[in-house]
Order: sequence, then C-alpha cells, then structure tokens
Amino acid sequence: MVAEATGSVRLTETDIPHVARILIDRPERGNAFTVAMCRELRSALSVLEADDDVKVIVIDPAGPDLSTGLDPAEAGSYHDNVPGLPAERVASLRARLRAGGDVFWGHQGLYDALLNCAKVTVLAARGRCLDIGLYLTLYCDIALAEEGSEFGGPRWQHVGVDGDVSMLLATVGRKRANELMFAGARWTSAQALSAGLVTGVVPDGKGTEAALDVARTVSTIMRDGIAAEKFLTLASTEKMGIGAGFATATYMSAMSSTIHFRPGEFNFLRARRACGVDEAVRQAEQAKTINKGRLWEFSTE
Amino acid sequence: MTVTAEPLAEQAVLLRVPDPAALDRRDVAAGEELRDALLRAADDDEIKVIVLAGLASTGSSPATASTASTVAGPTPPEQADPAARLFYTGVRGLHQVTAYCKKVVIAEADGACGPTASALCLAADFVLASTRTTFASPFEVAEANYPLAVLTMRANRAKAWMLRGGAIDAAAAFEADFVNQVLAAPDLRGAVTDLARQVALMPLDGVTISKMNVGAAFDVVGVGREFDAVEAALAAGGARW
Repeated sequence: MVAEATGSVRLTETDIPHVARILIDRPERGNAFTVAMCRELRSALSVLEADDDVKVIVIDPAGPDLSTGLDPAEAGSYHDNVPGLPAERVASLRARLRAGGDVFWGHQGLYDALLNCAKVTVLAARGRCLDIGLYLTLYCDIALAEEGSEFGGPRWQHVGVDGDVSMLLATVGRKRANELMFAGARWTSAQALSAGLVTGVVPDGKGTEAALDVARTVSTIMRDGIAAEKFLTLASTEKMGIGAGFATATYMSAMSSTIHFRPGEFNFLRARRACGVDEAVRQAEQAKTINKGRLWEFSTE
Repeated sequence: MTVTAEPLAEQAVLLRVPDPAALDRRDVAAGEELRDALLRAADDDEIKVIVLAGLASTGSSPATASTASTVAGPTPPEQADPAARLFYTGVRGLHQVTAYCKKVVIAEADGACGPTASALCLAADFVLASTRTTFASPFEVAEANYPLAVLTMRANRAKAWMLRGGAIDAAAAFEADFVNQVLAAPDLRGAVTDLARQVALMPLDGVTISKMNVGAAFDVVGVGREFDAVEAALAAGGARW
C-alpha cells in the first residue's frame, strides 16, 4: 500500500462503501509534488483500479491548496537520473524524453494513469490549483472547486507551454485556454466553472464533503455500468486525440528544458541557478504583473 | 489597400487593415497584402505578438447585429472567383496563416466585423472587442474552418452559427467564448496593448514551443485537414459550395 511509503500521497479509508480516497499530503509546501509523489499517486491509482470493490476514487488535498505544481527544487533535475542512462552534467535529450514520459505523459506517467483510470475520479479542488493542480483538475472525471480556488499554469509564462494542450483546448475552448497559456491568467473558481474546467463550486471548507457526497451518489451505479461508461469516455478521448496530445507533451516538455533566453527576457532558469528557486519564482512573479486580473472582463459601458 | 505595420509595444507589432470591406469582396491584392504582412511579422525574430486592427467597419453609428453582415458588402462565395477564394481559405491562405502563425495573434475588433473579419478573429489566438462590435457569421462567405470553430466555441454553438448564419453581438460572442474580453471602445487599445505586453514576457523560444504545441493539437482535431479540404474543393472548381 502507498500509505507506508515515505512520500506524501497515500490511501485513506472512507466510510462510504466502494469509495476510496487518495490524500495529497504536503500542505506546508502547498502540496507541491515531488517526483516521488507523482509516482505514489500513480501507484495509488493502480492499486485502486485493480480493486473490484472500488467504484469511485476521491482525490483530496490536505491543507489549503490542491497543488502549486512540481516542487521547484526538482523541476530542473528530475531528468538527471534516469535508470539505464548515464548521468551527465547536462541531461541528454533522451533522458529528458524518458523522464517526462515516465513521470508525467507516457504510459507509465501520472496523467495517463489518471485520464485512463477505469474508476470514476472525483477531485476536491481548493486554494492554488496550479500546474500539476491544473492538470489534476483537467483529467479527473468530476472536479469540485471551493470558492477560493484559483487555476492556472504560471510556469508556462517562464518557459512556454510544454504540457498537453489537447485536453485543455477541448475542455475550456481555445480562446480561454490561451489566457492560461499565453497571458499568465489565473482563474477564479467562478471563471473555471464558466469555462467548463470544473463541475461545480462549493463554499470554502466544503470541498472534501462535497466530493464525498458526489462519490456516494456515483457509487450507487452498478460496477458494469461504471465500467461501460468509463470505457466509452476513454474511447471518446482517444478519438479526440488526447493520447496524441500526451505524446506531443512528452516531446515539448523535453524541449522546454533546453530553451534559450534572449536579452531582455526573464531568464527563469538562470535566476534559479543564481539565487535559488524561491527567489527566481518571486522575481518571475514580479515580472508578470502587468495584466494580471484584466482578462475575462466584460464591460457594460 | 495598404496594410500598415506600426510598433505597439516592445516586441509587438500592430497591422492595420485600412479597408476591411476589401477582404469580404475577396480582393486578391488585399488578401495577399495582409497575408504577406502577417508572414513578415511572423518571421521577424524581434516580434512575439501581432495585433490585427481595423478589421471592423465602424461607420458613423454602431451597427446592429441584424445589419452587420451587410455593412461590409460581402461577396457570396458562389459569385467569387475560386482562385481569389484560395488566397483567403486555402492551405497557404490568410486564414491558415493566421491560425498557424508562429507568433501570438491578437485581433482587435471595434465595429461591424464582416464574415472575413470574423474568420480572422476565429483564427486569431485572442480577440478583444468593444461593446459596439458585432460579428457576422464567418461561415456565410468566408468558408471558415469548422474544426477550429468547434475548438473555440464548442460544437453546439459552432454548428448553430454555421447553420443559422447571421451576426452576433459582442456580448453573445463573449458568452460563446469567441471573444476574450469586451471593453468600452476608448479602453480597447489600452487593453490590447496590455495583453500584448503580457504575452511578450514569454521567452521567444517559449512562444515557439507553445505555438507548435497548439498547432499539433489543431492537426489532431482536423483543423489542418479542413484547410486541405477547402483547397481541394476550390481547386476542383468550388464544388464545396
């Protein structure tokens, strides 16, 4: 069981028959994912998928945030030690491709496991739902957001959009997706609901309860019914090309770690090397405050 | 028609269309001129953001939704020369160049957008519009890319607009996710400039990666194949209509 692992993602019991809960438990760091946590979440999904008694999986964050993304301390190094490949000062392209696939976008990766999970997944989103938090929201079947939630991919502004965009475009529409991808927008829960990113919005502090309520309802569906509906859903996502989007994402994530910064551009990677991750993030955030909050605006003149 | 290019902000250029009605008349020279200006800007390593302005007919008073499609005087596709239509809707046409542009494209819409202007708004990455703006259906004469419309507005809205035709106002376009932002006309240019500056903060390599990523997603859902289909239909004499 994942519960005994040293990481911060673990299975917990619920008092609802056929409903399992996965707890993301690193609240002191905004539930920033380490690579180990990505693998733990993937393992937890596999364990539950193999359990015929489980119909619904609730993914629930401890603390005030769903996730602030990949732990910045590992963001530049997760491709440094790929099994079977030599450790080099600068990771090779094949190491970057392998790591991006194994951890996130490939058939062994977290997002593939979540998107293609045979059980119904219900997410309790709250607080910061950024980068990995945004993707968890996209790939869960049902996402309930607490009112104070915010959604975005802030890292994209520093390095480009290097993850899957197919599902984002299909879910929220191209123009709205561009706000997240190119303009550094962070959506409120109301905006996320309007865009179709989340299924519903609940009062702050009620996310877990609401997710479990939905899970209770879903759990009354017969097993074969759930299996059939999920299979049809997965067939549809394949036809929509989401799988191809994941393949592209593997490549793009490898390429984005090699980008060059031109004079005048904020060099996120250099800043991280020079003054540490936290300061680099702070500087990057300072550099992108021009238009924050201006999008999604409708004037009645 | 002379498309002017002027700096808007650092690494952002504004392309101004002086005669949007020429686009709806399927004026070949006008279409070529705008397409080539877009390609030049896209190939300029100092530019990350391209703003398309002057797409709408402003007139002396704001157009209403019911009259918007007549303001620009569009030529029905069956009356247009297929070769001229290729300059707009084929695989190397204006719409394709806009949709697959290597740089981020922002459409600024202020007034009555004819079908071709609406098609360009559809192809652009962002659309910012004034409250008085209306959008004629891009499917009426512009042979707009339906998969791209689905990806933008979702299938039911795109299908309804294609089948029903007619113009929608800025509020409806905003609700349909066709438009990112609707502002009072005097605030429009400022908002466009702010957005261009924000986008330009992304490293150029990041812009390139991002646009390639989005282009790959377009291809998966058939945006590119739709341009191919239009090209093939027009090459066969416009049988698509």
